[in-house]
Amino acid sequence: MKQLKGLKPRAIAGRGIVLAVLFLMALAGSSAAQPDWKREWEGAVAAAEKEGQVTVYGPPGIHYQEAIRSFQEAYSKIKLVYVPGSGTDNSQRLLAERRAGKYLADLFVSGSGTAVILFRGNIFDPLPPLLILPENRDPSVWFSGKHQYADPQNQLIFIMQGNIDTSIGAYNTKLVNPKEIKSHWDVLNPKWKGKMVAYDPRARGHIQNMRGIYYSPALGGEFIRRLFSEMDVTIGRDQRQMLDWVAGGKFPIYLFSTDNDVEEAARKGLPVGVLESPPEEGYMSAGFGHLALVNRAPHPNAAKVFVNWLLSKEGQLQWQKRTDNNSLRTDIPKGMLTDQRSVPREGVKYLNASLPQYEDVKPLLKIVNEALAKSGKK
Amino acid sequence: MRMPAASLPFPGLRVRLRAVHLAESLMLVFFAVVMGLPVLFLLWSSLNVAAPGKEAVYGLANWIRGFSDQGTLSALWMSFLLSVVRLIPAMILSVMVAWLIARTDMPGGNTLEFLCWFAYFIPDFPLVLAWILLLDPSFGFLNALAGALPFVEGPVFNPYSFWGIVWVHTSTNGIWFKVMLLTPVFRRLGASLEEAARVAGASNLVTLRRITLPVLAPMVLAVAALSLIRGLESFNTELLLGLPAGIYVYATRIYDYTRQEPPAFGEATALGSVFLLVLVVLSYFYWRYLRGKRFIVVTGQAYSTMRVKLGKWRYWALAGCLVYFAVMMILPLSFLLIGSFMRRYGFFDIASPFTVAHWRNLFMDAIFLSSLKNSLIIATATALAGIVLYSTVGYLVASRKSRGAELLDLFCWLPWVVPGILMSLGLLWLFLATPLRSVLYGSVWGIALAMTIKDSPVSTQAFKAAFLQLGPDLEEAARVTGASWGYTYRRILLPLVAPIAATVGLLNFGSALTSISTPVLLYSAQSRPLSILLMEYSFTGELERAAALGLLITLIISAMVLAGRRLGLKLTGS
Repeated sequence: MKQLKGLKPRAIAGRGIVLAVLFLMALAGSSAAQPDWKREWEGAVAAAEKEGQVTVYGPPGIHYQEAIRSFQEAYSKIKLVYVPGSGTDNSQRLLAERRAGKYLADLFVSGSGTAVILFRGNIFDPLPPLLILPENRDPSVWFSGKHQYADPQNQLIFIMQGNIDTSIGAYNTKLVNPKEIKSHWDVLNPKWKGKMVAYDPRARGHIQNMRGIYYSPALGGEFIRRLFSEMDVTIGRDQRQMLDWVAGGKFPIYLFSTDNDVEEAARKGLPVGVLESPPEEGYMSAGFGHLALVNRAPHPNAAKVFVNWLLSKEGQLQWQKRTDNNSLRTDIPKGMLTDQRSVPREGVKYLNASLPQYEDVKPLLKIVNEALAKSGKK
Repeated sequence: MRMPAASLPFPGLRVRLRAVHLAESLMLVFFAVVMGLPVLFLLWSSLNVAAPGKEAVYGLANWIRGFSDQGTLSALWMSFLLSVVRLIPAMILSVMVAWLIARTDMPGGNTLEFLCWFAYFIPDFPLVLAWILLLDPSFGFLNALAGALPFVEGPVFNPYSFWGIVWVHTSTNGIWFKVMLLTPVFRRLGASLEEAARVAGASNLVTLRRITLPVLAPMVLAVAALSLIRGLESFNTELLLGLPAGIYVYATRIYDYTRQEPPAFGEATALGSVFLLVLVVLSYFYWRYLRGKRFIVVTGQAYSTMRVKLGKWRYWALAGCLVYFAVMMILPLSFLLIGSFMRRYGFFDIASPFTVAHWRNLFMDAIFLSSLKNSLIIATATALAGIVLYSTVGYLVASRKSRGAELLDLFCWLPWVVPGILMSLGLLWLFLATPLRSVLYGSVWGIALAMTIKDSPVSTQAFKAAFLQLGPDLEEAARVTGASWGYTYRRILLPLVAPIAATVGLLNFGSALTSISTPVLLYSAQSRPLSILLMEYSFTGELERAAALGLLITLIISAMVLAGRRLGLKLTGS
């Protein structure tokens, strides 16, 4: 500091520029001196092209398939074999193949319920050793500055997506004043008894939401118990049907709806909206955004290339753009998402329903079954 | 009494017996493998109580859990009740309509038969939604119409009820399937017996009840049994209409086990085994009824297909049929068609409610064309394989009185008594276990084989009933003139059962185009058929595009039905 004090501002600026140039040169030099990842990457791509194929088991929705098919545009020499199916179907397929001694799958993309079942069956290998590209190794570009995993070993089921869900459900804008329902607890008002429909809490594909509610300190099992035992809630399995019921006025409220569906219906002119709860009742849901490497993968190098592509900025951009789900990568733009409320805010602590500490659903299902039995709905 | 082959008077008969015996043995082995093994796999795996992917541990826990679940018995009772309640009127109506089409001079019979085919292949999921739009107590179109009447207060119709489910089932698969199977059999019936009855002074109704129906009993009973089992397995309609009303059926419970968190296939298989029991009971009664009776209606003697004259009633009969078709098919179908052009299915009061976007998006979807190609390959292969395979099986089951033939008959029922998703799992295991895995697993050929197997009950029963109606004198006459069994089968028997063959082929073709549960575990992105694409559209809430695709599938099948019917009529000389 003393030395600087004696210098004129122009001289200080000049030295600053020189230092900056030297720093940049050092950076460039260091990357030139660190060709390991590049060499490893080029080797992996060459080996993957030699393998010629990567087999991915993933969700059946067209948008998910389009997102994953984008890989083919980036790596045309590696044939992508995509096996679409619901979590149940694909897990049964995978287990049957392995029982027959056939190891056909390289990677598995699914919801947390399916991923956890397969994890318990010792079917996955650690994912971190596959991360070659620096942008993938760097956890700082991911939400909360870390890679998040849905398994207790913190290395098998990568969570690449996270939507913030603070919605209570959908409502008919002609029949409900949203100011009356500002918290989940408000739907327990006797006024709404017999006037609500809810997605079956026991059904697959919905368990993450129920986990978010059950483990939420602001809601918990008590809310679930009272809702299903006291409020004469009608149970449904078809999300589209339930939303149409609300739009048609059959039920004023549809609990646990999917926000994007409600927004889409509202855009088409249906009288529906989303009931919002306070942030403390919200949680983060990863939906189908779980990625795992299947052990004894037949195309290990192609799997490596695929994982690095999917978790890269480009891969996550494709995933986010096509599936309309928030990628947990923070270095990609979020403006494309239909529901901006789904984007988590830095610094805010969310309950991530995919994390292993929230994995146990038995006590939750026990409460649900007892409550439904009490109300004669089981 | 069976004669030893060495002492048979005709050398050709020895060759015939050897050929038939060989065919029977081959078929038995084939069906034991492709139908028996998947079921055995399933039953065995239901005893595995270990967590998925873990080392197998065997026990009865899945069975105990499945059957001790409260509500299982009441769901089973509800399933029987629903099946029987809709079966009885549907069977009476089906027999009446098939008789009117095939045996009377009612005008427009061929068109009505075609409409049955058309209706049968309309995918049921969008059709159920169409009925919801028509009958829903809050916004149903028919309730709104009824509400406009001065003496009506409140909603008249409610699809979310026992009778609502019965009604919608009557529309989606009430009489269509039964009429499709019964009409060709009625058509083959020689008129000599009916003429004799009329000469003796019997009325048309008495002749139908006392002559026609008893003679056609094998097919009528087979169709009733098939429908009963189909009814017990049905869950799509019950899921959409029953769940909101708290009506649970047995098949929904099985489905629940496969879709719950975590899925419990062991418990699902345990519950599914009840269908096996039903099969055994039904088979026993069917066998007891048919034992010692003869149902020959086609012989080598004079053969007349003269139709019953209804007089002035012919137009009343036509009017009755048309009203039934209009209410049960045209009404929901119109809503389905309109729905495919709506921005949001069923919402007329939104701004610019109509669009062609769903059809455009469908044709522009790259997956659509490849799925169409896959579906056509699968459906054609299934239809052809079904005709070749089940005409042989039907012949063996009808003409042989051996244990092997009885066993073969029983095997052919298996694919329908195991719920679709479970059968798909059993077949998946089978395909993976064979050296042909690379040819069958994830390919269109594997799906075609699975679909051929899946359709075995209806195909076998249809051919069996047709062969039961053929007299032995036809074969004997051919043999006396020196014809080999193969020649006799190809040139005499097959042409006589050609209408049934066309029916079976078309049924298999249509069912291969529309089935979801059978290919669901067997397809890959490369072999995805249209039915799975339809499921994917429904899965993502693109109901309008699903409706467009459903209609397109129905149109493809209708074109095939028209072509097939022409061929069938040409072959029978009608």
